[in-house]
Amino acid sequence: MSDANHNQNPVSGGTSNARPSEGRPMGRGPMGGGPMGGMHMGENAKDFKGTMKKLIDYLKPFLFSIFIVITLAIGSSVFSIAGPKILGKATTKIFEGLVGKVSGIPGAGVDFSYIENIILLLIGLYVVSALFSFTQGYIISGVAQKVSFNLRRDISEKINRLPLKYFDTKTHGEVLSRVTNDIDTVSQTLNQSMSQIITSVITIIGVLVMMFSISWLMTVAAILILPISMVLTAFVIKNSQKYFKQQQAFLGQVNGHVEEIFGGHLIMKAFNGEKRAVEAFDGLNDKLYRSAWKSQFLSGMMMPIMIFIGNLGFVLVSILGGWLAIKKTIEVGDILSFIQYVRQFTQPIAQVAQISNIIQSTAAAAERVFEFLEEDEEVSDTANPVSPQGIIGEVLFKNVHFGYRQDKIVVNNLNAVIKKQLNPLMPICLLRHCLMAMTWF
Amino acid sequence: MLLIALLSMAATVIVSFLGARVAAGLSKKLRENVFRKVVSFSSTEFEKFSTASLITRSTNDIQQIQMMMVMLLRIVFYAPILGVGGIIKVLNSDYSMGWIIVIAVGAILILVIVLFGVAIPKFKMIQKLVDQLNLVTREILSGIMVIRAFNTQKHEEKKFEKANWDLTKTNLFVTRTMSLMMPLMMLIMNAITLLIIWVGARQIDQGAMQVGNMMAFIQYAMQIIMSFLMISMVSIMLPRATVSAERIGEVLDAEISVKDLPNPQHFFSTQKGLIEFRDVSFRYPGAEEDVLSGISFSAQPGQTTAFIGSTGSGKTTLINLIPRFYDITGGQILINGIDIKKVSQHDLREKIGYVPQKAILFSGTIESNLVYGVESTTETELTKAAATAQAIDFIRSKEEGFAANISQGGANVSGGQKQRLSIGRALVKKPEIYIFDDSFSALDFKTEAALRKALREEKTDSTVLIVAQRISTIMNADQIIVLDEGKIVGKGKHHELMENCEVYQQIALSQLSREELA
Repeated sequence: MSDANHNQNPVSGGTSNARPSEGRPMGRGPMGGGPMGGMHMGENAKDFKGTMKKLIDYLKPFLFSIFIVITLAIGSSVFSIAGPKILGKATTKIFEGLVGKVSGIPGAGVDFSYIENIILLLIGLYVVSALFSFTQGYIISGVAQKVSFNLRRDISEKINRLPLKYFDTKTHGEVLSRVTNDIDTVSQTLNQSMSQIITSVITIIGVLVMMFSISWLMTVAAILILPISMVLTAFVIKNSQKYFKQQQAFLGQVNGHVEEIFGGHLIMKAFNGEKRAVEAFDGLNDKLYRSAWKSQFLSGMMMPIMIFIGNLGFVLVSILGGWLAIKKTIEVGDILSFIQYVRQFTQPIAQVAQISNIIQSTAAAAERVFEFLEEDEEVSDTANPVSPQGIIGEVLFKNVHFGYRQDKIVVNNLNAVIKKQLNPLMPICLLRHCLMAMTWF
Repeated sequence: MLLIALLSMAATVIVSFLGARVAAGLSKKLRENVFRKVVSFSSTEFEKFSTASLITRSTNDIQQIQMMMVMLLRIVFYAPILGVGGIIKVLNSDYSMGWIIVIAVGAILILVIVLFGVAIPKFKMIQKLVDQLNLVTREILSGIMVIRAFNTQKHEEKKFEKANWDLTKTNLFVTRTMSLMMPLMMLIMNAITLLIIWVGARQIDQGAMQVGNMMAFIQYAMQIIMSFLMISMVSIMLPRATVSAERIGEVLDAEISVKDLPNPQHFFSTQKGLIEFRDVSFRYPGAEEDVLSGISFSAQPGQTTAFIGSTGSGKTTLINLIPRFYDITGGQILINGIDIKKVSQHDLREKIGYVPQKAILFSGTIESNLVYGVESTTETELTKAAATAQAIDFIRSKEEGFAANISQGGANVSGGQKQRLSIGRALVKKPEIYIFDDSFSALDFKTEAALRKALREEKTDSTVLIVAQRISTIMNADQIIVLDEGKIVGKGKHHELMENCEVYQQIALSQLSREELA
């Protein structure tokens, strides 16, 4: 093939350089970036604990940054959680003013200076919260990128320490895909999971506290919805994951077939194998289609189900809230705040449900990287190397045995002396059956 | 309220169901069409696109489009309805606060445009830097022996470090820019809520609005903002899918250079395997000069015709013209007296047993590879072909024998074994014409000699064409054709050529001594 890349587009150049099919999801899989953005479901790591430990070792130099991130996450979540509650006060004030006016109390009306203060306070709170959450994201992406930088550097140094036989059994594509695809996955998921775990957990706790402070009865009602929501999402995730795995497997097979047929197209043509290739392809493609639409449909169900449950919560909360407001147990503004809390509540729960998947794919990608970093290395140089001074260029082979692999010895018990030639251009000729081995001397 | 919520969910589920089927169905159809098209490509098209690029186009690019379709169906149709619905509601309920929505949407759009305006050029740069990093790694991997021999590991690591750092730096910039988005988005949404309350409070005070209306207004505002957010996110992703669609379109629109006639002729069965070249010339598409010109010869059934010449003399090109991997640009090639352009490619290739320079096996078993070209065969014939190809010993040494697995690309057998199976595959077919394109060079001399002897005994009435590098492979051929720079410079038997062909003498003497050649 004359010019392997002359038709490649720069946009997809990154992935196309690595071998496109290795039975693994390519790029970000068909789900990334969708409404369920970050639905990373892939293969699991074989040794989850061990891999995580190693990954944490890489995170250790950034312990201080991570500590700051946690503090900021707490700050930003607390501020944004406090918002609705304070906002509720403003709404109540408006309502009270209105009620006062309607009842004809002289001088009554909406207390604008009070509302103005609250709004100014809230603007301050929201700005600080945004600032915190940006700083948090800023630091975390720094950590994630530097960890990937270190991983990549370690891989490049490892390449130079591996015995040559390693490269006889592995294609360049496999090594390349570790340098790019796997480390990319690690850095992306690291970024996501670190910030999401912290914020989600804090948000859930904080929102719960706030909800209870408004009305325990309404909170209980809202929480009663939770088990339904959890069971449903667990059911959807479980099923869609099954089809997703199938889809990835069939995708790998389809891509493998494509690679094989395109790579061997001369043979396929010469032996009239077109029909057979197309038939095999159609079979695989159909299987892929069946699992693909099911996987997409099920993952697409998440949103409507979550929205429905959210709506269910709204209905319950509104009815209860109205009743409690009539009984004067709570204020009108509180209903507004509470509805906002319920809305904030369902989101982190869905996120927590997905975090385990994100961590799984981080581990799976990280494991491949660590596997590479832990390959047996070439025997290091001798501890006390002889000084090369005084060497005149003589090579002596003494009972040399050599094979590319342990079970395949190519050179057996070779004895030879190669003297420094008077005429440096005169080549050394070895027997023809050693021709193949010559490059190795 | 409950009923509406339930209906809304049911509708969304149906949309999601249809969307998933449409998106998956579309990519299935697309994948199928692209595959069929590429299978019908001749070598010319494969070289035009490059195999690697064709693979990416039929896998990665189609995946991109499928992703985009799912998003489009799920969001793009949903979001505008949500947004427009919200706007209608807002306009109906209260005119005097509509301007807040305009501000909100404007703020969101400005934010998205500014952020992506900054980030997208960098996104493209990231692709280039990833390529750069791949390139450096590839160089290290392919030059690993040289690096070790010259002790330049430190230098290579420095080069890698630079590419690595460039990528990290740009990645950092992009992720940090993007981490601005969520906080700012939240800030805008919160600020809009505050604005609505501030303005709403005055209206309520004037008795123009009710508290409940204000709350509803906040909900609608959020809904509208969300839908605009979704649309702007998707529209950012659109360009990438467009690029993929273009690349797939190029494949589907490609003109195929080797085609069958509408009403192809059929071969007569009187003659078997007679090949005639009549003043054949050939040039690669887009090339300035002919690679082959004025080629005329005939190859007789039952005889071996060998081709020799220096690298680039056109040997492989010449024999690739016979199975019509390429179509000639001048002259005629006849098989059994019929122009090969006038018969169907299928009929033509049925007659040919082709063994390529680089052995290619398909995943499956040893048997499935050997019987690749035929409908059915007997076990004795299979064993016989394997024996002739000198493959029977290593097949027998395997536990599963003929049922032993062959992994993709034949990675689990050695180069020599691959070549022997590739020869066996052509033998099982029992064709009228054998084409060996330098197929013996992966074998050692002893195996090659045994193979040539077995072949001589086997194929008595077939036409055999051999391209070779080694003189010893072809010394005994019935006809040797010497090629130099795309032209025939000698034709005849070994001893004739030793006397009258200078090019042949040079090749022969560079490989064997005078005594061996005599």
